[in-house]
Amino acid sequence: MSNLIKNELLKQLLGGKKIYIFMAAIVFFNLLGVFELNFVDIEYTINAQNYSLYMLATVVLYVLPFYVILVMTDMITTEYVQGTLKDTLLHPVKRSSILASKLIALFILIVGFITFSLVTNYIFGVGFWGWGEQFVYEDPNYATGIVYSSTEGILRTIGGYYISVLPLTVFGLIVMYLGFLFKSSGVTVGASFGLFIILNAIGGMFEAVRPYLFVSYFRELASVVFFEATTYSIYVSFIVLGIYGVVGFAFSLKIFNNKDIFY
Amino acid sequence: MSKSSTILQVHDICRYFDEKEVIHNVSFQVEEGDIFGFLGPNGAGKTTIIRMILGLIKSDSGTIKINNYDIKSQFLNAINKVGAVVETPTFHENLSGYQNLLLIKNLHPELPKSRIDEVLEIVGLTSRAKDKVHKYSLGMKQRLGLARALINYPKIVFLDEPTNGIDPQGVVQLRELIVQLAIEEKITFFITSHILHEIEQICNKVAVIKGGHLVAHGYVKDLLSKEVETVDIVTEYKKDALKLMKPLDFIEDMVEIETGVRVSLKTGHSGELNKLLNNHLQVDYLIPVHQSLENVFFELTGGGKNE
Ligand SMILES: Nc1ncnc2c1ncn2[C@@H]1O[C@H](COP(=O)(O)OP(=O)(O)OP(=O)(O)O)[C@@H](O)[C@H]1O
Ligand SMILES: [Mg+2]
Repeated sequence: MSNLIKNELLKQLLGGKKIYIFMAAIVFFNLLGVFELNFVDIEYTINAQNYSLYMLATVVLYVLPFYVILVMTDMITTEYVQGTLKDTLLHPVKRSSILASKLIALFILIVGFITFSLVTNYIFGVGFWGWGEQFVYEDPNYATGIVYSSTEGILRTIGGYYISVLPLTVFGLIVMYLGFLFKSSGVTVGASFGLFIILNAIGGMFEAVRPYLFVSYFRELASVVFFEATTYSIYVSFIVLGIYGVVGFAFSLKIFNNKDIFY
Repeated sequence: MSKSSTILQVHDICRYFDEKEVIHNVSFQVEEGDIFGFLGPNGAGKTTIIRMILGLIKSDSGTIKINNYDIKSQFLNAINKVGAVVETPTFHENLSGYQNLLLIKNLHPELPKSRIDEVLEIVGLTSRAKDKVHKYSLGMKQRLGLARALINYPKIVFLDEPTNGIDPQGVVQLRELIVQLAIEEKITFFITSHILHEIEQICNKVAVIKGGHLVAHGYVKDLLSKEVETVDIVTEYKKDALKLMKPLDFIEDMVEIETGVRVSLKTGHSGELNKLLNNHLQVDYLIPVHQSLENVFFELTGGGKNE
């Protein structure tokens, strides 16, 4: 299994420029935040301590979902159609192990990007505002934000970054399933992107269903778990994500096990 | 040598595509040490059967065993000592030849990394190993595909139209390599082709498939020593010749060819035929056609056209 994971990472790291393009995109968006904050009035202090947290939503909503879509499409639809999925299947490996290793590789890649984003944001924060005196959290319930000790604030920020890997990985499982349905990478990307947009739109219109849509958690899981935002129950959050994950994997495995490999 | 044992057993397999039966009750077996030619015209079902044997597509009925392991219920054991190139080999084009082999080596943790260099050496790609595969010619990809098929020390190797895209000189080299591997590494080969003369010299056994039906199966020497010979009657009067020969019971088959008529007849009757023809119409020549597997193949598959 570890060899299969290594293979998936090798293909992603050596087989294309996607990694570098998305690293550049993260740098770009994180700089955009610096630029934006210089023009927008906010009610509380921004400094290196809380800039990372401020930028988390941007990365997990506008950058990483697209990375997840492209990588999973690569791993499933593209590999199937270009015939390289078959090449793996001609060796003694279980189809379930193949799927699991693709998922774990995606997880590792997202962790890498989250780390990269976290680090660049602290660097940009120090560079543009200095370290600062205190950590202020912009709580929607308090106009001026609430203050944590520096250590606590930073630990909560780090927790918030890494917990966001979970909903993104769950999204990877949904894309995995879609990837088996289509014979064209473009269609898989389009369908996944469409699903992402539609679910976000539904969440925007109906507040009551929001806790049951995985897309809500790209942004919200961090505040649910690490910043005591009480809008969603922490239990509901994990149960919902767990169900999406288990169902996504089970459906993917079923379709893969029954699939005739024609390419 | 120890007595031969069955390495591949295909029993009564069928497959439907969209209600249409594409493979009909096909059975055959391959013994260890065979170089087995699997022949048939385009669309006959060669690739489909290879994919079924390798577990890539499922058979609707029947059983397939490799090394005595069932491909469906004991897949991991069945596939372990198998190498295969199915149709044109596919690769991660943005990775190098070496990296593509590394991906496969990783699926067999017991293999040392040096095995990659060994198989590159065998197919003569060592000097290009670091180049990305998208820079390879089709012939080089075929060779890299063969290297990949050899990496796990397979007992049986499946090659689907291996000469596709290789120049005549390359075909000769490939044939020599196959024979060498069969002898030195004791690898059994299962080779499909619709271009017969390219492999007939090296196969000891063949199966011929047409329209999803197995139409012949056995040792090459048995198929060749059939009680039939073929002659080309070179004449301008094709229609008359056909009419004249129609009632003859030693004639098995007749087809018009450009220069006249090609007939298959029971061995020993060609003198009789010659006399008869010369008495009734003007025949320029009677040319015995060298009996090769190709003629048997054409007879069996009706000139290479499927149905
Ligand atoms: N996915 C599919 N759906 C429907 N029919 C198919 C499919 N794959 C193959 N067939 C049909 O099965 C038959 C056998 O095809 P196959 O590719 O096995 O032939 P082949 O002997 O390998 O031919 P070639 O010499 O051209 O490679 C053909 O009639 C083909 O149209
Ligand atoms: Mg074929």
